[in-house]
Amino acid sequence: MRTFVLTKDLLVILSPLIVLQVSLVVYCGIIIFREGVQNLNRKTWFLICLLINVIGPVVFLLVGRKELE
Amino acid sequence: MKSELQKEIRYALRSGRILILFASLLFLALLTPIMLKVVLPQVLGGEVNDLVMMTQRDCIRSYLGDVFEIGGIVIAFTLCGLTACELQGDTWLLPVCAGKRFGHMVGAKLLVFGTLQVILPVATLLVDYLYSSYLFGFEVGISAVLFSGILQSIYLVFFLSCLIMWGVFTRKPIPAGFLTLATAYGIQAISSLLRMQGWTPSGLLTQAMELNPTVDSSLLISLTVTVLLIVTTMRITMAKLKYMEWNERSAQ
Repeated sequence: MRTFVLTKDLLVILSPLIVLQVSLVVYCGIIIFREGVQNLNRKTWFLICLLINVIGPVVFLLVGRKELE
Repeated sequence: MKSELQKEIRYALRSGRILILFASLLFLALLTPIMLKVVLPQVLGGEVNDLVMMTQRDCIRSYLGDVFEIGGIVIAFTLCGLTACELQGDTWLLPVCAGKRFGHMVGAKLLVFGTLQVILPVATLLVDYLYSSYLFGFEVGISAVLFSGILQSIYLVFFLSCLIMWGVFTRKPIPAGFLTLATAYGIQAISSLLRMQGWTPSGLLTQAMELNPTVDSSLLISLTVTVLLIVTTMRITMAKLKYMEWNERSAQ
C-alpha cells in the first residue's frame, strides 16, 4: 500500500484548499452560534462543518441554516 | 422591475446562495490541479505515471467536465427553490395581487442568478487556470480560457432557465432539481449517442473543452439552439404562471 508523506512542498500545494476549508468553517461557525440552526442541533452541525471537507459547510448552508424571517 | 431586481439581489446575498456556489466551484477549481499533480501520480505509480503526462490543458478540461457533472448537481440543489419555494409558500400571491407582472418577477430571477452563473464560473475558471499554471506551467492562452468560460456560462444560464421552469411546474424544490438534472444529463447522453451535440446546448460544453477561441458554424448553431431553448423555457414558464390557479385548496 502506498503512503502519502506530507512534505513542505505538498503543504504549499494544499494551502489554498486548507484556507478555503478553514474560512468556510469559521464563517459557518459564526452563523451556527449567532443565528441558530434547523434540522439538527448546533454541535452536530458544527462537527459536520469541521469534519467534512467543503461539503459539510455547503450542506449546512443549504439545509441547516435557520430560515430568514 | 427595479424593485424585483433589488429583492432578488438581497435574497441571493442574505440566503448565502452566492457563497455556496462560489465555495463549491472554487473547491473544484483548486482540487482538480491537486488531484492531477499530486494524487494521480501517487495512485498510478512510477511506470504508469510516465505514460500519463498531464498538462495545463488536461487540467482545465478536467475542471470544465467536473463543473458539468458535480457543479451541476450543486447548482441544481442550491437554486432549486428559486420559483418552487415562491409558489409553495404563496409568496408571489401579494405581488400578483398588487399588479406585479410575472415577466418582471421571473425575468429578475433569470437576470440576477443568470449574471451570477456567468461571473462565478468564469472567476473560478480563472482561478483554476492560474493554479494549474503554477503547478504545470503556462500552456493555454488566457483568451482561450475566457472564451471557454463564457461558453460554459451560457450553458449554465440554460440550466437555470430549466430550474425556473421545472420549479413552476412541480411547485416543489427537490423534484425541480432532479428534473433539471434529468433534462441536462438526458440531453447530454442522447446527443452523445446520436452524435448531434452540435445541435444541442451540450455542443457549447464540447466547444468549451476544446479551449480554442474561434467561432465556427457548429458553435453558432449550438449558441442559437441554446438561446432558443432559454426563450422557449421562459415562454412555457410564463404560460404556466398565467393559467395557474392561485386560490386552490387541498382536499380535506
